[in-house]
Amino acid sequence: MKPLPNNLYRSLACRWWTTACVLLTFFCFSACQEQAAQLRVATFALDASPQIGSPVAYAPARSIVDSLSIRGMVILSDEEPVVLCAVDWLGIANEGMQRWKESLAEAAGTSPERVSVHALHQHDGLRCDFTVEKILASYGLAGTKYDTTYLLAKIAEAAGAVKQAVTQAQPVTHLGFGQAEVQQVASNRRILGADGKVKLIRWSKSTDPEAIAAPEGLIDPWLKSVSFWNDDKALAVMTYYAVHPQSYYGQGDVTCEFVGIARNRREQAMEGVPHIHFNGAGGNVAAGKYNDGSPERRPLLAQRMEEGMRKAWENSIKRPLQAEDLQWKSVALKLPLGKHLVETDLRAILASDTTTADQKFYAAKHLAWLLRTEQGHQISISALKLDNIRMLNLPGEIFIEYQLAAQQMLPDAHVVTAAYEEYGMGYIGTEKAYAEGGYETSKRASRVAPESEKILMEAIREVLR
Amino acid sequence: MKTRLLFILPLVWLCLQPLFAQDGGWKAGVASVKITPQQSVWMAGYANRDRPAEGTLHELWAKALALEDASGQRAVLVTADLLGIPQGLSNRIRDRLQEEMQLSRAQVLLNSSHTHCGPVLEDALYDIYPLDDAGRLAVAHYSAELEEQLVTLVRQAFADLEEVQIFAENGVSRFQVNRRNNDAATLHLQTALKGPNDYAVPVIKVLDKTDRVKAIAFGYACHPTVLSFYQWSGDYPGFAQLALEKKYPGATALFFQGAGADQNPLPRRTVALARQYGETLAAAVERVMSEEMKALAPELQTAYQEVDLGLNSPPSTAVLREMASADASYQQRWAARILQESEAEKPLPTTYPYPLQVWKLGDQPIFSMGGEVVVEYAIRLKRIFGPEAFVLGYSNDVMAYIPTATILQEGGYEGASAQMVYGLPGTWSADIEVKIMDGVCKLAERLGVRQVSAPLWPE
Repeated sequence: MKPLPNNLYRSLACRWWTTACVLLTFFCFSACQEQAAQLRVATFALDASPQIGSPVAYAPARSIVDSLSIRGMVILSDEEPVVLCAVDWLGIANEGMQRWKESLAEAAGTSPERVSVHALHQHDGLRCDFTVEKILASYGLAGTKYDTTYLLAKIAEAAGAVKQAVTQAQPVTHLGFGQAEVQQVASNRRILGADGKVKLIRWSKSTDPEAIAAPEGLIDPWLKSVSFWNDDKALAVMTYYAVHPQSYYGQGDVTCEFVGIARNRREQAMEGVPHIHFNGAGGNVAAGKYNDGSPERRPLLAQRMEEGMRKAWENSIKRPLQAEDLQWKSVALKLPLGKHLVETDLRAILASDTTTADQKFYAAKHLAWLLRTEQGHQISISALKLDNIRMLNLPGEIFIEYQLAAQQMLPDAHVVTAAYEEYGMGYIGTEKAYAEGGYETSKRASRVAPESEKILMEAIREVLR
Repeated sequence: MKTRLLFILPLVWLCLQPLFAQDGGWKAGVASVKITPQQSVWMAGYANRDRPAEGTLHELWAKALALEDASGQRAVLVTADLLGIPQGLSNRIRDRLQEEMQLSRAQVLLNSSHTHCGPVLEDALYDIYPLDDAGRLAVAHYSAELEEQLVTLVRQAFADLEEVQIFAENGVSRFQVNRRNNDAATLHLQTALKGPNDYAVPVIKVLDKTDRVKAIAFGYACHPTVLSFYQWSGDYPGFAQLALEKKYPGATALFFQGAGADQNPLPRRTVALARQYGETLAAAVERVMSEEMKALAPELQTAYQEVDLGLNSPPSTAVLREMASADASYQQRWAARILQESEAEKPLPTTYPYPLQVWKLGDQPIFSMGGEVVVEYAIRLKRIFGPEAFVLGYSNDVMAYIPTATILQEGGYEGASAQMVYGLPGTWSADIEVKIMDGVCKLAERLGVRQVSAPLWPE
């Protein structure tokens, strides 16, 4: 054979291969691009019940009536992952919150700014705050309010669950949104008199006829539901409702309360579709009008919550979702400190042999927040945009007014609010509420100044934009 | 060529200059004085002794190591086979050193070994000893004599200054047992001991120009309570010093007590055991001395401050009356005295000026604190300033036990009842630990002591 045709043949084969390779690379690249752009979610859940005998919010745990859980979701896209997490604990604060965010961020391969961890605020749940524990320990009160070893182990376990979940993420094609009014659960805690001052505090439980008779007051009646779908398969549902989740508490009988019970039942009814529930801005909202604190009320309140969750689910409308529909916005800020936080005064309370354990505990909480703020630690306000839904994350025991205002800022979108993120500052009232009196804005309960409202509203506007 | 040499020679001289600058190094001097009482005196440390000392197992010593750095900065470490130098005596000695030798409080470190076979000193723990007037007088005479001896000792140590090299390093020895968390009576049944502990054996080695060991200052955090009999003795630290001075002829061995308030040498109560622990400790020191030690640059810095530690109020008058009417004991004597003082409307102290001291020899930090300091303080300081730090308790004043806030809360001997032993009107207030740690950290910051981890909460 002559060499020329052979060379030609070889040359042609070579060209064919080159072309094939280029096409294949292009195809792979496009496919990968598409893969990267595909929104995926991974859910995780684990038990968060305390050990019997270890401290929960107001007593040592003596029984586990309804187990507590940690539930969350990692949202994967072509951006850094976002982690949303809800914990059946009283509150997570200061270095406790820092540890949670850093651990989950590391596990998900993202930054702590893209992690939002919320407590549901059950009053027979745990407290998590390593800063207050350090302060208490330095005044000889270590281990009285926190089981640090357990808390650290649980955070590490949650991080492990996140890491594991990410490997099993599933594509999301649609997003569902629905809402329903919850009947006879929430009522405003602050009943104002003719003089505009708080004349009556309607706690989580009430047997006072005047408190029961008073109107519900300002609440957000809507329970909102966001669901994640892979075509026809529901991957997870997130619900949001603003109310203090207390029926009765304080003896160490651990329970996830009516909100957790309702959530668990819904999950069962949905044949195991993961259900993550968040508490909204219910700092000044509780069940007091509808709850006398008797044991029978807990299942009743749970039933009403469950009903709201069911209806919201049934009202849901599914819309297709693209990765470009996702956007995470976060603002770091410092809230002005309450003027009553004076280091020397707080230390004197901690050092005294005549102050009570309760006074010392509050002094430690105040001191922790004061020191952290002075050291420049900031809190975050964040929002995840998914199509026409904004999932807003707020700190503290924040008033319902903030949640309602957030919805009004974007009337054409669905704004869902999860509060009880950073818990270190306690309650956050509106500016005028600080002048009206009552418990929530008292020196005991709130560690921020009235001027916080303007800063927070501005931050909410910024992250919803 | 000549021009080039003119440039190079000064450079060579500059490079070699530090090697010849030997006179810019450390200077150190030592002195020792026998302080075994020559007359009949009661022994300190135990409330159940019922008579004065009856003999001598080995002599009691006070020793001084005087230091001077390259720039002429001075300091002196005084160690003594004593239970503790109380405030009055310490202040008198330090005032005189200030006046006569211009040594400030920061420059003088008075540490006692805490042997329980030394003499009772004036104004210390009087409630626990059933002393009569003659007994008190003997104590007063001895204390006055001791004051003279210690001032002279320091003067002699500075007179002995010569060029030296100084080294520091930590060794290890494990005969201390945390006495709060392990029961001595059933210790033989335990297969694991509970902490906290600090097994470090801090060692300072001083070599003279001929590389002969001139001084060994070493410490350990453990009560010298092996012996409880009626013979003068330095207990295990006494045996350790004897062993080291025998091993290194011509050297002066100085023992300083660490934060050993809650550490006991267990088992105990025999001379053989005291010797065993002493020789164990000496062996630990010898090991450190025979290995490479960190040479300390001839830079000495010292800092001192007193922080006011709060004292809680005594129990109610009713409780005091009940205690005062009980059978004779130190608790009974304490209650009776507090009652008497409050009835006489004599104001009870509400704070106590607590001495804190930080030295830096080269880059070696040395933390000294007054009182019977529990081991957790050493652990915390080492966490902040690194494991190579030296921590001394029983320094400059021994006024009480110094519990952590947790031990204070737990109570027991170190947290509560020892306050009566020391004659204080009430327990320490709960901010004791915060104030001490904060005070030490501030002093350390002033001297630029390097921190290896974030100091205090919150991080």
